[in-house]
Amino acid sequence: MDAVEGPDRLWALVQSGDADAFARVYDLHAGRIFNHCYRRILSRQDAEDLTAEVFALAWRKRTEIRLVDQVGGLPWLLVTANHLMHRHRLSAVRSRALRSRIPAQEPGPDHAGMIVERIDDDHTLALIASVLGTLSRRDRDVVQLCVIEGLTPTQVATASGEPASSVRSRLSRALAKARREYRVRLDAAATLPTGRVSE
Amino acid sequence: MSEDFDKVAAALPELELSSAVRQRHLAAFVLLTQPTATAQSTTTTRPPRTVQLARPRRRLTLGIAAGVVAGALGFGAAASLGVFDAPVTDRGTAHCYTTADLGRADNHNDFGVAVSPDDPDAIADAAEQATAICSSQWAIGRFSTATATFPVSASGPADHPVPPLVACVLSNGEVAIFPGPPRTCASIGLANAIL
Repeated sequence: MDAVEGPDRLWALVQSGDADAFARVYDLHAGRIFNHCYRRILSRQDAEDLTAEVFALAWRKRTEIRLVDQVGGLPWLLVTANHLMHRHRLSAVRSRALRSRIPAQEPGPDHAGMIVERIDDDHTLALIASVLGTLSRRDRDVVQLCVIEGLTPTQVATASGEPASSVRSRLSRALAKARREYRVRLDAAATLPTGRVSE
Repeated sequence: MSEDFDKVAAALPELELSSAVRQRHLAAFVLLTQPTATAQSTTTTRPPRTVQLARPRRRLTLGIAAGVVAGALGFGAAASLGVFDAPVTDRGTAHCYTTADLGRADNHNDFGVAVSPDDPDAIADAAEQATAICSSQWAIGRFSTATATFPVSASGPADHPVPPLVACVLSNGEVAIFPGPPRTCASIGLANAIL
């Protein structure tokens, strides 16, 4: 679809009030927004609801969305998702989910490979979420947007209205801390007698 | 080792958004984007915009009237007339209620509203956003007049009926959206949110 109708054109249609184009934008980005939310809050239902809220807001605010070359309103959607997640006060849910997942998992020896793979996925997600949880909100946002979602600091700056230099310096600082925290967790997991360590 | 975080974070496993969820969301968006749905929402949940234009004078009038009425009839009676409007002072969190009952813990959810701090209409925007979000949640079946508890296990088509909704201001300044006519706020001791 992108080859025929790129994000820029699609978002221009959305901003003119084209509901069909909005549905196509949803199909283009909903999975990414859903995963973006899920990776932080680790709750499928909350991530689904947040995804719906992000797009409902996108429709209401369509004329105010700052579009970015090549990616249209995707940065705005991701930044808004961050904002909503913060506002949703889901920290309790998130903490509960993390507490239940971070301890070393011990899958039974008779578990099927698919289940083990799923547990590995959950463990990886929980590990990264726990690292992000050590960062301040703004630091967490910029790491999630630039490292996990692959946006450039300039794209984040355009969507959030911040100077690009501020985004870059915050990313550098936040990433250094995230790497340290990640290493600490890996080291701690390696010392657990029955712990599972990422390969 | 340092780069491991970057590699792992950039290649996190992805979950699939189910087709049922997609259909539910799209059905809700259809309601949001239809002019008729917007008109219904506007007429059932918001007082006329002209009220806001006259707000300073209206507040003074209301202050005088409130004093007279409260003195004559008592505060409770005045509140039941639904004459008090108030701004949403805490714009961070909002609530959707299944029933106009503040005494239950299982009849509402909490969610955030995204309001730009430099938006001059932000106070009204918080209530409007909350109303729109709650409306979409009713539309996708997470709330229902058939049961007081939240959430409802939605099934079937996603075009669930959306009742008239009203935005009230809780004692902590947050906005709460209830099903019912505008006087619902006063009936449970709350002010209507200024929209």
